[in-house]
This record gives sequence, structure tokens and C-alpha cells, in this order.
Amino acid sequence: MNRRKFLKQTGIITAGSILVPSFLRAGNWTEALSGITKKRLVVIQLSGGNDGLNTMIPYGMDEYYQNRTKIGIQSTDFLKADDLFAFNGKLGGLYDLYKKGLLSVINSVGYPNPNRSHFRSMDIWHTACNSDEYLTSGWLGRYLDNHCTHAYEGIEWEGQLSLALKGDERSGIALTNPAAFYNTIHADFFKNLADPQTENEELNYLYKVFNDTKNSAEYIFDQYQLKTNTAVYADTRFAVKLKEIATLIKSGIQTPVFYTSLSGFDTHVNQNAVQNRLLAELDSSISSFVKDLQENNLMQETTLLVFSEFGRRLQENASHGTDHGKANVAFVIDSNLSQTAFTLNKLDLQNLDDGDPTFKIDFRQIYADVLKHTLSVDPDVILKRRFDSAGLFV
Amino acid sequence: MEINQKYHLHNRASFFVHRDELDEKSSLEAEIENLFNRQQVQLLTTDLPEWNPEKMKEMSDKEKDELRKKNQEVVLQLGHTWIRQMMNPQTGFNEKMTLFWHGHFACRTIQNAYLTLEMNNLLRTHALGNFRDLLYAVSKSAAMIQYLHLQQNRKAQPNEDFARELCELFTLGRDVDYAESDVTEIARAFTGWGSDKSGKFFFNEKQHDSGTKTIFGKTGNFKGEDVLEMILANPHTAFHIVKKVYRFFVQETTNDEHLQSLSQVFYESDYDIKTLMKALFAADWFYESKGKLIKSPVEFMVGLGKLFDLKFEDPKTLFKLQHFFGQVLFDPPNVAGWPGGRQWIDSSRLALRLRIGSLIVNKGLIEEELSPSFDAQLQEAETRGQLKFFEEVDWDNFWKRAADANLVELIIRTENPFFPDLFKNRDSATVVQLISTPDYQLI
Repeated sequence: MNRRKFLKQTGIITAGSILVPSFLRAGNWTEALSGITKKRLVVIQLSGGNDGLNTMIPYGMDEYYQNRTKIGIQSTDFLKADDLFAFNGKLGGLYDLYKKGLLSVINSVGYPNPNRSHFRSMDIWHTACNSDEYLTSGWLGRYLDNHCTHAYEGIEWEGQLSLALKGDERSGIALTNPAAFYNTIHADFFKNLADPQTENEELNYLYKVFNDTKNSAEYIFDQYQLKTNTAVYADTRFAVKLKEIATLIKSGIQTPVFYTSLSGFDTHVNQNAVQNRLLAELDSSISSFVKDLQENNLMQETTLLVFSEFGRRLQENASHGTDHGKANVAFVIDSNLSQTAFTLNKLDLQNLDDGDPTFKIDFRQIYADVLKHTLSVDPDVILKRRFDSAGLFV
Repeated sequence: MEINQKYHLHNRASFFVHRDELDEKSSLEAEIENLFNRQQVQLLTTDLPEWNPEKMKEMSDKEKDELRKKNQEVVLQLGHTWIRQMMNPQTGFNEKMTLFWHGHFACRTIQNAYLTLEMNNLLRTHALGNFRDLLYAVSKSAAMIQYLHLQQNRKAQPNEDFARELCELFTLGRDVDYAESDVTEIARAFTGWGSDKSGKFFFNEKQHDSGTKTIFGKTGNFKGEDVLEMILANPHTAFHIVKKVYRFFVQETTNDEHLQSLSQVFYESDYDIKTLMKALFAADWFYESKGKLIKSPVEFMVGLGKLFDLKFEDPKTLFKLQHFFGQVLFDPPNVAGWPGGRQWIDSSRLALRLRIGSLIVNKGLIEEELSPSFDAQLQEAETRGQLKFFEEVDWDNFWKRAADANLVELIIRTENPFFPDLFKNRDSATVVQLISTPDYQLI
């Protein structure tokens, strides 16, 4: 007996891709369609610490060019937003969204006592903790804990689930291939494993996740097959991620939170070539995504949040790059931005904290706003303390 | 019943035990004694890349890159050797304790082979020794000094990082018997602690603040060592350590009575770790916790390796698996260590765990038309040469070792009422199915 035959006999792998037409399976989920927020949040994480100062260029501040004689972006390569700031020239799409009033630039975003380690700072952003405390659940995980019942309510289009989407009791789901994920967990053998419902709480928890995984994999796969996404996106990895997320959104999937990331922003050496390529990829992908949703009348109820774990130092280094810094720029894209949302692009390059711009807006103020506006929940419970609104939304 | 208690003891203490390693006639007490007696402390050794901060400043980018790669390679090897030592019955229990302390004195050293080896070997040396010695050794290690910024803790500008974690995570527990003002004063007491160029502990008199400090309500010219002694004199330190040991070796839900009695034993033994662990393994309630702990990724992999006598010959594969499962040795998420318990499991990771057993047994052969997202990930890693499943399970060996074992009892720790009927057969297909169940995630 060969290996494959052996494993088939165990029932641990399925006999082949069984694509059951979705209308045969859709019935189970009608009850889930009510009572869930109509809006959705799409979080885009820029991993590695994006240099905010070369993203939103403070061209009107002398300190910028004084400290960046080699890598400062010149006027030929930027798009002026106002008298002080300009978008990096690679961000033409975001610039258009800004001009149309759909994009808010929030500058000097950070937190008290910042940490310059990628790892720790990302942890802080994921868990929304203070820099001297350690939380084991993510901010969106706590949203799932408190307000959701299924893993598919938080989908991360990645191979692995971020801490942001891990709750104490309920976590989101990470996947990049709905058909494959369905096949993995719906092998014949797994159908025979019934929840034993013993007094062992840990065992009960495992079967709860097991069953939720089976149901969520089935639901996501069903939704995924409903329509072919014919919208045009660039042929890059990140564009494909956003396209797949759009495919799910257009299917009417009941998922309020999506998460994905673009990495490579740790630009210690020859920054501009690397960052320009990444920003171009980001810009093209987000533009296609927003256009796709707009054409399907879905942008009204969608918020995008773009962030990175920290910004970089004002002073360039000797290798045409920049080192780890503190406060940074974030973007929020939404159809219901308030007037205030366009006053948050503030930066002070004169009073630096150990060579870094200081933070003016706590990132948890932004979280508080999207939790309330987009996800319609009480931010204080999720964030474990009260943060003033950043005033992003109407 | 007796045999199940022995399975439980060894699974918790040293990841897994084969039926043929157990003597049916020996008493449980003798089994515990035997477990402790056969432990050897086997330090990891390796050829370290040169570590010279002065020289590093003058290195070209290319040289730095090479050094970084060399470091990565050595750390990968160390992780591999460690897992192999966890699988070895002569060292397994001591290594399990080392793993516990690695999570307790969590320190990210993965980029530096020198610090990795230093920290890991000192945890191993004291793993079943005395907590006082361990605490001193960790506090004076170059790894921790660097990780918690003790070097930057100077008289003129104290850095509270170490002082805070010492109280909150390493000894007393968050907000137990100390206040913010104590943290500030403790930081002053530790000023001047650092490591020299060779990575040895070095007390810099000039940076030490020799002024009077008020710590825990006492006033004096305290040094770092005085603080450690005051902390050790507080029984709450014993309680905090015992609580973490309990959650690692017994169950997540703690029981105050159990904790009180254990921490009394620990404190009265003047922090003898062996005494603590013997008391724990001798308690009735320890045996009632069977199947109630979720395996950490390392426990999962080592247990699986022991079950099939796998060799895990490729260090890169082991490293990648740790990454996919969410626990990379020498790379804890932060100074608080891995949260553990239910935090190990989410939908994607459970699906991966349910499948990985069959992948290993199948030599990692992935069917094209079935390629799930993990398979795609795994396959990508395999193409890049980061992942190799080349192991052939020696079934003859397996059946020889399991000759006298009930398969469900050998492999599964839970009391699942469906399992005796579901897994009646004695064949390899049944074994593969058993390691592909939610129940197999528990120990």
C-alpha cells in the first residue's frame, strides 16, 4: 500500500477536492445574518516600521531637509497636500482619496514611553496595552470575545493569525486559500469526531474551536465561491491579498473585521529605493480595493486603517537609511470622515524626544473611534480604559 | 489505574513515555524517585562565533551580515540539540524544567549565539537546583543585563526596566508587596550592574548610586544583592513561583489550597526546586489533572518525536515548525514569556496540529490537489530548503515498544467516552488517527 492510499484509508485526507455547490449548503447560515454590524473594518499593517517622514513629507519644515540631506524627498517627487505636507509621489492614489475627502492623515501617532523594538512595539499596537504592561489578548480579539460567536467574524488573509485577532476565548481565523482550508478540516475522519462534552474544560474548549473551525471553513469557502472577482488589481502579492478580501466582502460575508499586512519597511540601508517600491505597491492595491468596493456600493460601510509599529528617526543614518524611531503617520479611509479628521496631520520637528518626533495622538484614540463608529461597540470595554476620541468620524 | 498514573507523571515531567519503559510492578513512589535519580545536566556546547563589540564597530556591512548569519546558524543548532535533549529520558525532565525557566526568565537572545548559550546553560544548570542561585545567575547574566537595559541603568539616569520586571514577573508578582516608589528605589540599588566585553558580570562602582534608599519600608545603603535577599525573604516570592510551576505542570485553573501547601514546602526548603517538584508529583491532585493541560508547541513536537522515535535530523525543519506552531525557542514574545494554555490554540493552528502528524508520517508528501494553505506554506518552505520531512516511521519498532500498551491510554490523556469504541483496532491507521484528534492536544 502506498502512503497516499494509507492516509486516505485513515480518512485524514479527503478523497479529492469536493466542491459542493454553495446553494446546497447556504441554508445553515441564514440565522447568522441578523444582528451583526453592517459595517466592516479592514486593517492594513505595514511591518518593519514605515518611515512616516518620507511617506507624508513635511517639506515646509527646515528641520526635515537639514536632517535628511541624502534621502529627503524633493519637490519633483511629491504631491503637495498643503503648505507644510506632501504625499510621497508614489502615493498618487491615496492623494486622490485625500482630495476627495475620503482619507485622513493622522500624524505623530504613538503612545507614552515608546519602545523601539519591532517586536515589542508591534505587541503594544496589537494588544493596545501601555508600554509597561503585558496583555495576552489582542484588541480585535477582545472585540471577538465580547461581540462575536464565530471565528469567521475576524479574517486575517495571512498564513498565521496575528496577536491582534487573538481573544481570550475566541480568535479570528487566518487563511490564504479557502478551498484548501475547507478540505483540511473537512476530511472524513474529522466528521466522526463528536464533542464528548466531558467535565474537562480544556477539552471542551478544543472541541468548541474544532467545530467552529469546521463551520467557519465551510462558510468562508461557500461565500468565496459565490462570485468571481473580475475587478482589476495589480499582480503583486499584496494586491492579491486585498483582492481576495474584496471577493469575500462582495459575497456578503458576515465578517466585520479583516486584517492583512505588507512587510519590508525596516529600511536601515538605501531606504528610498525599497520604500518607494513598497509605497507604490500599497498605493496601487488600496486604490484598486477602494474602487472595487465603490463600484459595488460597499465603500459606504467600510473603514480602512493603515498603521505601522513605529516611525523612524528624523536624522538619516550613514547608510542612506533610517533607524527605529517613535511616533508615526497612520491613515484612515472612510466615507464619513469629520472635519476634525483633516486637522490631525500635525508634526513638531523642533521639540524632539531623543531625536524622534513626539507623539500627539495615542493610537488607541484611533482604535476607540473605529470601534465606536465602524464596529458600533463600546471602546472602553475593548481597550480596558477610556481614551478620548480622535474625532475622526461624523 | 496505576499505569495511567505513571503515564501521566512521565508525560508531564518529560513529555512522553513508552510502555516498555515502565515497570508495572514498581510503586509510584519508586517511579518518582527513579525519574529524579536518572536526570543528568548536560550542557549545550558549540563553536561560538567571535563576539567582540569593539571589532564589530569596524566591520563592513558584508562582514556584519556574515556574522549575523553565523549567529543564526549556531542558534538554530542549539535549538535543535535542545529538542533532542528533551527527547532523551536521561535529560528530559531537567530539560522540561529548563523550558519552564526559559518561559519564566523570558529573554530574547535568538540573534546572538553567545547570549543564547549563556542564558540557556545557566537555566539548565540550576533547573532543578536552588531558585536563589538561579535568580542571582540570571540577574548577573549578560543576556538579561542587555535585554532589560541594566547597562543603561546609571546613577545619573536610572533605568527601571529590570527593577520592574524583577518584582512583577520574576519574583513577587504584579503589585504584590511593592509600590511604584519601590521600583524607582530598586533601580537605584542596581545601578552599576553590567557586563564587560567578554560578557562577564561587571560591577561599575562609578555608576553605582551609593546613596540611601528606601525599599519595602526599610532604609539603608542597599545594593542589588540586598534587594534580591529582601525579595527572597518574602514568602510571596515562593507563592508566585509555585503558581507558575502549577500552571505549567498541573493545570491552568489554580487551587489556593494546593498553592499554599506547595509554596510552604518551597519556602521552608529555602527554595530547593527538587523538593518543590517532588512534593508536586506526590500530591493526589496532580493525578487528577490528567489531560487538562494544552500542550505547548514544543511539548507537542517533543511528544510526537518520542512517540515515533523520530530523529528530527534537520534543524531548519524543527525551527520552521516552531514558527508555524507559534513557539520559537530563544524567542519568547516578550519578557512575560509565552502566555500558554488556550492562547496556543486558534482555528488555524488547531488545523495545522490536526494535520501535522499525518504529514510527518507521510514523509511530508503533500498532494497537489489537496494543498491547504499550510501545505502551501510548508511546501514553499520545503522548496526553499527550509523544511524537510524525510523520516520514515519505524512501525516494527513502534509495535514492539507498544506491545503491552492499550493504544488509547498510551497516546491520549483525556477520558473521551467515545474513544474506546472509535479506536478499537491495533494498526498504524489507528495510531495516525489518534494523533490527529483534538484530544491529542492535551497532556
